[in-house]
Amino acid sequence: MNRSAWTLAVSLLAGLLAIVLGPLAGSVSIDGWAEAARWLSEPRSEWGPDTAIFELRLSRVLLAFLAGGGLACAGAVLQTLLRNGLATPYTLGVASAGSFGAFLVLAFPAAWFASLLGATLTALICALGSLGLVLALARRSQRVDGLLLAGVTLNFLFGAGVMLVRYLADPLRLAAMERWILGSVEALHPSEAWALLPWIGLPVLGLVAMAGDLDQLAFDEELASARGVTVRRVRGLGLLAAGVLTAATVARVGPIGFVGLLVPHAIRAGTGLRHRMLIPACFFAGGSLLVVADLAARSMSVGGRNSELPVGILTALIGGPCFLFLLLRRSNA
Amino acid sequence: MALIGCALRAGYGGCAVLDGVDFRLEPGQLLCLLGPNGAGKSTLARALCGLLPAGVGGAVASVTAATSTQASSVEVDGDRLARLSPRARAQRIGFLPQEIEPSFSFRVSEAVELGARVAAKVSPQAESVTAALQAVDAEHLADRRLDELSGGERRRVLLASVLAQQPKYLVLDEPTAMLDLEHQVQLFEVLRARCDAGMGVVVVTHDLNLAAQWADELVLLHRGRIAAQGTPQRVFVRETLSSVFGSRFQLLETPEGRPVLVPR
Repeated sequence: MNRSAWTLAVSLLAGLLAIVLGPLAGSVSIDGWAEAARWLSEPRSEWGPDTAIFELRLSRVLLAFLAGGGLACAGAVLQTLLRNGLATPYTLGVASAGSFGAFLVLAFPAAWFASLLGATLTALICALGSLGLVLALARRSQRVDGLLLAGVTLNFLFGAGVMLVRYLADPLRLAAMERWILGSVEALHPSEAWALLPWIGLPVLGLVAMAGDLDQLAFDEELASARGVTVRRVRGLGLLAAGVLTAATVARVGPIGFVGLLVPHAIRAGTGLRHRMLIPACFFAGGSLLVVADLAARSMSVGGRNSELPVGILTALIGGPCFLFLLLRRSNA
Repeated sequence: MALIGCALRAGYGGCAVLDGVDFRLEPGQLLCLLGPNGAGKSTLARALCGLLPAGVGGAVASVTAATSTQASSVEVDGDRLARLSPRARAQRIGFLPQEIEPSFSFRVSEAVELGARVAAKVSPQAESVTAALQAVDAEHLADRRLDELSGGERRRVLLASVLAQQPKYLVLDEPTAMLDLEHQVQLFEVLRARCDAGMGVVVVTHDLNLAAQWADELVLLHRGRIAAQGTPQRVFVRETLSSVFGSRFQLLETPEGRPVLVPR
């Protein structure tokens, strides 16, 4: 087996372990395997409180896994298509835009767009709109770092938008909004994870299906075109997939940063640039990373409060310095 | 059976670069495309590969037939290029641009494999990668990273990746730039061997002497039109060359009867 197959195998194994072992761990100790067996075999009415805890954890693990996998794949494809190792849903402002959309719905659930579109579609419209804007701005600026600067600008704008919504919103809704904006993968039932599955699964499968074209595009655009890749179509579909992945994730779990930046970098070192390996490996590795991060976050009690740390804070704390490291390494090169 | 360009017109943003060029490349022929900067060599090369109408590479260019009575078109072995699927086109015509900008650090073997994937013939990819690297004397580089190589090594690896594509016709834009003398000659030896095996090869080059030594046929472009065409002996005529390049050169001849140009 070569290096790239090993990387995929290891990340697949990590993903399976995260899903199987994740629900067993937590701040309250339960007999995990027995509860898992009971959860699978017995009807809900005969469950004890520990079985309910197991189900809560399982829901949470599944949601974290899908969200982490989706964000990592979105990061991987954005880095390829925009030919920039620092491009991610967050650095480009796509996630902020999606957050803004979802936040709007959360703040004004009775508004026409909220009842018509719901959080995910509103987030999707904002995310794709901002992706278009960031690309247009980058093209006009003609600078190497135009893309990142445009992303920073949009991050500021949508950050201001989020503050404005918070200011205007009904104070009774602020607690829920606050919780969401910190980024959390809390889920009460596995169906909450299943609801996210098509939004993550379809784009990821689509990306795997066009993996060969993405490889050629990562190498050189003109050469890719000479080798039979319809560059515009592949780029359009890839950006759409990244937008859907980001918006759906952000709408459900709030802004959880840096998974989309770090995972593709780490995985690419192992798989190389074959997207047929890179995309699935990113999915499994991103999923397991967020499950582990959430496990760490919910096991911590911060400042003596008996509440768990939102995972978004943890990933941001770890991811910020890593981003800086990548930025410095790139400018030295 | 030939790669034929008919009344090719192309321009960038309203400014015509190619002004009705007719072109023909037979299988087994090594043809060099010559001309001063801005003569339209690269534009012609791209048009022959069907790359212009898509407007790739940032430049907005298109092949049009605005004022001509005859429509601009490229035909490959009797098929209109525009009617072929992109993949079928890539299997017949291989193209190597002047510059390649990989966005990430590719391994040499990965880069060559990208070309091998396009090949119509089903053969083990590892083998065709090795064979292509061998052909350009770059086998020992297989596990290196492309961005660690010297300019010349990089050009050779890129040539290998297009050779791995196993096209019927090959269009190379400045493949000898940055190559040392030994590798320039080696490159033309490789191309000559491919021509003997039935491939048709177009080489865009600024090196008039290399072209004169190796080419079966030369096409000399000037301001988007063909200034001269034919064997090196026919094209390397003092009047023709000085009308295109100015007169600061001396025209000599090798013992084999090939023309040589010495600047002065």
